[in-house]
Amino acid sequence: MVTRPSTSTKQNKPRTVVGRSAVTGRVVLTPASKDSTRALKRASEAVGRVLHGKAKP
Amino acid sequence: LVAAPATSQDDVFINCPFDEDYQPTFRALIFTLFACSFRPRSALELDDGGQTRIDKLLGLIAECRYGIHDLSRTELDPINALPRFNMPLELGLYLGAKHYGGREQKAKRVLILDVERYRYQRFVSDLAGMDIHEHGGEPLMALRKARDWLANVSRRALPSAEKVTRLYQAFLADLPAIAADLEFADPDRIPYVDYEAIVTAWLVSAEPGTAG
Repeated sequence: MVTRPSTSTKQNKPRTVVGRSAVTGRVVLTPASKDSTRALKRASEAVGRVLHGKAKP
Repeated sequence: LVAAPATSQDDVFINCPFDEDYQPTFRALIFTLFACSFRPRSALELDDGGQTRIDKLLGLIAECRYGIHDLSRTELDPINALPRFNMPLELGLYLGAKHYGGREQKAKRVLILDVERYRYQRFVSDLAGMDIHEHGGEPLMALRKARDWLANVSRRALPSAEKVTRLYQAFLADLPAIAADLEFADPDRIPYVDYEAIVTAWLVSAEPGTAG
């Protein structure tokens, strides 16, 4: 997970991005929900397994 | 003197029903916002017991440059025979922030959705003159309305509505397997925090060629 400067006004905090999407060509922002970091780690692993054909039976 | 709250140009306040019937539309909107590099904000992300709900909502509204408000749920609740007032209330708060707030708040933009375009005249006629968009209760129509509106008000180059639709359908095809891998028994009952995480992880991991 990396941070980059916000495009918002200078009062805003830097926004966090999950990464860049190859299918949209755009960055994907980190969800605002609390506990999203932990959920994101689990989801990333599961999505990786499914998209790469290694999902649990 | 209190400084006016800053708004995030990436944050979109979603004011909509959270019931089971509306969930397909809600999920389509969440996917659309992440696919277009925005960040959805809604009451579902709030779990701080130290604040009243209205204070939490006021904070959320203050932070968002954009707001999508769906007035679909005006019919009477079958159990209580009363309408749901939360969506009109939150729309009123949003419009109040835009009207009375400082320069940042006045820059707020609002999309109002309903199942029919002119139905609002029968239950909230004070909105006369505002542009209400209808989605007919169709999630993919709501997706298109949200995407096209965001492209208009943000002036950003966004993926087309057709592309977002194709990607969303590809995502929906993968969702049952992802839910199973995460040991959610029912893909329709994935908690909001996990759904957001799955959407963002999928968008980052999906490879070109997905959905054509």
